[in-house]
Amino acid sequence: MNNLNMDKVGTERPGWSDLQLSSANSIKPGESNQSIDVRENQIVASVVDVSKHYGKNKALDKVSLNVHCGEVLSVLGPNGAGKTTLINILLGRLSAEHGTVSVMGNLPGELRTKRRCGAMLQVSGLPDMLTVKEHIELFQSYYVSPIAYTKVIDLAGLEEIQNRYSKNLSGGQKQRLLFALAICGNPDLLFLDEPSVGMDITARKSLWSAIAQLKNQGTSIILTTHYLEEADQLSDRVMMLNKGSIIQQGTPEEIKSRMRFKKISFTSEVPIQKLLSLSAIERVELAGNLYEIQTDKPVKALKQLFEMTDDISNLTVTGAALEDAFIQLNRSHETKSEESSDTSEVAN
Amino acid sequence: MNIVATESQPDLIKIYLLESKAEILKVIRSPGFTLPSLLFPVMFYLFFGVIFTMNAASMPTYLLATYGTFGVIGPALFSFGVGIAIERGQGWFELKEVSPMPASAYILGRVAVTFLFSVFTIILLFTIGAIFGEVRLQREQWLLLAVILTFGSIPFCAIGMALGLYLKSNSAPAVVNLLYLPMAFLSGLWVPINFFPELMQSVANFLPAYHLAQLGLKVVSMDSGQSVWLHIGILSLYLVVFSILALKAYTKKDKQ
Amino acid sequence: MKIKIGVGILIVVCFFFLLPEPEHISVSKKTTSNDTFHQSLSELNSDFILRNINLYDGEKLHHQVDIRIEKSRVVIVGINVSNENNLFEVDGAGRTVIPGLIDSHTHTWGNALELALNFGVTTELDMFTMPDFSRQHQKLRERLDNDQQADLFSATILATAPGGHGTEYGFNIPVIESVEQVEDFVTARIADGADYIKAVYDAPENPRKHFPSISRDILKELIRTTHNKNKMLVVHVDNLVSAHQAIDAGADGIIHSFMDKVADDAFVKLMKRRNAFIIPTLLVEASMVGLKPGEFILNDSESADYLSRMQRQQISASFMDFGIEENAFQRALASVAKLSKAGVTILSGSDAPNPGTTHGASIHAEMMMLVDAGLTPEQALHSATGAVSQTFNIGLRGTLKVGAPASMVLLEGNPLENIEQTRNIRAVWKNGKFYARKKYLSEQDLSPAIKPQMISDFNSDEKNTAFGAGITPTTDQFAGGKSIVALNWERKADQPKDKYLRVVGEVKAGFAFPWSGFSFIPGEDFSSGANLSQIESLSFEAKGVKDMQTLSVLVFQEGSFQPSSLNIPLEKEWKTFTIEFSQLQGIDLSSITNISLVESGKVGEFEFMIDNLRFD
Repeated sequence: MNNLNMDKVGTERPGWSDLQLSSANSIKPGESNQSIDVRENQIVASVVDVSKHYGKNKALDKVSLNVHCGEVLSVLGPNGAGKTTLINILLGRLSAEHGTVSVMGNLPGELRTKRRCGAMLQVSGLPDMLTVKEHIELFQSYYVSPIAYTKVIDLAGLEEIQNRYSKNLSGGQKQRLLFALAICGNPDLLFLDEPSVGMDITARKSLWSAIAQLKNQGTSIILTTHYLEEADQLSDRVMMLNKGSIIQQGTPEEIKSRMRFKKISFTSEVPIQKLLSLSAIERVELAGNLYEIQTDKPVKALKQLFEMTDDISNLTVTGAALEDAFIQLNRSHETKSEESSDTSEVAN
Repeated sequence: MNIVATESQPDLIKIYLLESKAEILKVIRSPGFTLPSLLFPVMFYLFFGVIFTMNAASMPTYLLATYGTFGVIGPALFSFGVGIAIERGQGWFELKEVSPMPASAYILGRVAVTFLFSVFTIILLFTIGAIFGEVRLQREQWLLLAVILTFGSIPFCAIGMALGLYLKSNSAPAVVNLLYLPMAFLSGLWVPINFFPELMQSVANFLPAYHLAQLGLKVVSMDSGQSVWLHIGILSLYLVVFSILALKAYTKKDKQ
Repeated sequence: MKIKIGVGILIVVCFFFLLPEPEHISVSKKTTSNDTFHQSLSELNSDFILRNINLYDGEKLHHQVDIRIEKSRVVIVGINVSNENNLFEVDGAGRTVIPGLIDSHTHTWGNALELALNFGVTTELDMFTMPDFSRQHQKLRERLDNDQQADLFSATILATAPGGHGTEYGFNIPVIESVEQVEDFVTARIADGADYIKAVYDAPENPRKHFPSISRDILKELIRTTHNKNKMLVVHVDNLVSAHQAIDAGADGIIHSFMDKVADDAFVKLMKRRNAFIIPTLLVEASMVGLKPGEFILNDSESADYLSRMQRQQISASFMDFGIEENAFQRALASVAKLSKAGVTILSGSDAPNPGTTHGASIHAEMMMLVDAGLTPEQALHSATGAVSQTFNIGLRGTLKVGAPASMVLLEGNPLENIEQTRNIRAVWKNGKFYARKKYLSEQDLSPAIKPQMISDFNSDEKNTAFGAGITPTTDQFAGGKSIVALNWERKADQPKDKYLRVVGEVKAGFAFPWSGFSFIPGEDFSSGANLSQIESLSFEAKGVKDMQTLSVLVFQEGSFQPSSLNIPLEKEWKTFTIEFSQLQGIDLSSITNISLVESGKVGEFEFMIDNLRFD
């Protein structure tokens, strides 16, 4: 398995960004004949029927989930949905009240399990007076066959600050260091809890590219994030939690396709009142002279639109983004529920 | 090709060395924190044991053992008690916990810091005692005293560890000080125990610092005459009890 | 990194090799012969260092330490103590130093405190003596220069019932008849200087009565009053039920390990609960049943030379037969064992100079008895040192803690291993001063025999005699009586040059055996006897003034207050009398301290005349 992973690190694939929108199929063609292990261990982590309560609050309610080899699974949900609880159960920091959990075929939290996992948690501070390099080298020593130091630095984008004390790092640099610590052991399963918090857009992009690269090498990744674009771009599979239950699961496309809406955007000088009068239009947003229209009858809406005015340019029609889906799904879920959505998630 | 990763082990010794090195570097690079805690017992000793001593002949030797005790239990309590509580507050402790770091490495790293502190404190105290206090001991006595003091900090590491795992990061320094300073006083680390009323002397019998100090004093034949095994026994008892408490806190899942 | 660790360790190791070690200035054992060792010890006075000794400080043993004495007090005990002031120092070469011993039960008078010090006893707790004596010596104990005798603490006169134990010695002592008298009695004792009060109590429940006793109510009142005045009260008992009642009533401790019964569990528990102590006085108990466990000391090579004749006689002396069976003593031992096991404080007391015991030497025998009873040597030593210090208000006496007066004993061996080592004394210091132990060589040391000769023809006005310490008045005032006497050297009417001694006085009631007259001291002083072994008789001329007047001739030998006596009838005319010494019963002529010619028995004024006193 080690050797296998090392090999994978060596075989970098050009054009990996093409894979951003690829399907949830976790096993790439060509990898399947490299190792039997990979196929046999297709499921790297499984959660079956797991529940967890904090006092009266239900944090997880009979959640079942499989994480496949080489898959990026995004766990989405509002605060208190049970994301952190789920991650902590997978990390072995919390015990499940009900159901079974297995990670790499072992119990979560065991040392042999942990040696094959990497985790990036939300940490408010790290020991000030160690350099980036010392931190990474220390964490590397915990693993049997860590990624080469230079490779770690490269992946996490830390070349220029490797001798800086962690005290002097910016928020984004700290996140990159934590990312480096999570991946440095060449883990089979990587937990990323809000990895891009505090990063600027460039850093975020390079983080995404690093995650994608790891994924390509067969690393399974569990990601929680608030940045839906992140999930949309990286995930093979998205899981939406609310109030401890999985409300949606599938590839980003699947989720998006479950949406009735299309998005029509264009620039126009037409007053917004006129647009609101159109029957096929569900919702209109105006920013400057850029309109965004949501509709579940795009053809009818376009027809009505062109009937009303010629002042339309830069017209695009797109399916809904994951974010839209997320907002919509959550909204519908919340209206169903009469209980207030108290925060039942554990504070870190 | 089919090497099974779960069966191979990382180099434990290397982890221990790196972890200890990391802990030591952290401390060495924070002189603002390190120096005062190192110099505190030393200054105390210089003032009360050497300069304002009541009895130039025996006091420096007596207080060398007791301030030595004072000097080694401080780093043990603070490195473990406050250090762990702060890292827990930051979430750093959790990150280490979910990483494959062996728990033993974490403990060992902090023990290494404690020992380093102890050795520095002892060297400073011994130097002052020898030069200014005119303390004269046989080579074996110097060495034995140093060894007893250094290793005697281990039960206090356990106490610190339990405290660090139970206390909140913002209250830990205050609580540890509240235990450390009164315990030091009541154990006769500042003022010889026989200057106390009998009631206070009997209270001292329950304090681990008293027993470590007595072991040190035994080396210079200035102890109060109780059995070595009593001292070792009580120190071991503290070690075991607090190790169990710490282990309970550490292995307790569902931390809130 | 490994190099750094290596360098660090190397530096630490080097550091330890730079740390200073003590300089060895002490004299090595091999080069010190016993004589020069003893010689150098005798030079250790008031400020000195004794190095390389095992030191039992009254509580615990310190191995291989030094002790520094400054201004006659212990300043420091430690390893390699410094010597900035260049004090004289001696290497003790592994010998053992113990605190000066404390005998917690004595009856102290005469030269007892000197005899005590001669055996390393530096403090005596007297349990009944006359205040005239105790007051004088109690004062001395506060002085650091009181270095030629033991310190004295005293109960002064004991509290007993009319005719009770304590009255049989003839001293006219105050007794307690009712509860109302207790307050005054205690106040008077404290005015006498009593450091604590001793009472004699015998419970009505005890079937074997020797003496009348104060009542239980009086005992309770005594305890209450004494405690109110912040003094301790100890009770003499000779049976279990009395002991139980005394402790139950609140007494601080009891004296004598009773022989009627072995201490029962209730009593042991009571003692423990009340934190009471016992002074078992096993040696004197043994003596009472006719055993002589202390007699070995007469032939003990370490002790024999240091015993005066008087002490030797005291050790050999026996009680009259009390009719107590010999194995009763086993009960006393058993009680001590039981009490000790329970953790009750045991204190060593000899009850010297009762028959079978003597000041000083007997405390060593008592400690051995305690070990026989089941105490460890350390406990036995503690009972004569630190335990007394903890029990009685005697300052740091019995310890060698910092600040204690340096009263201590250097022993050849370790008494904590073998209690007999306490007699193996190499040196005694009292208040920091080396005490030159007095040797009494048994036979060859006798003073040269006095030849038959005139003692005094009384022609000189002075009290001097041809030999000895001279003529001196004597009355029962010595024992608390009220008799008076005056000695006059007068000329004979017919022969103006020839003087005689006219003795005028009054025998008054006050002491059980009142007397009045004069003494001739044949030795150099009151306590050292003269060797009269070559004298066959004492002769003198005497004349009375009344009909039926008798004169008592009392001959005292060293160490005894029981004279051999002879009564002679006086006439109103001068007459020569010759007393053949062979007529006197059981007297050792080699050591006579006092020959007294007194009026005794009959109360009233008297007058008699003496001339030409001589030995033939």
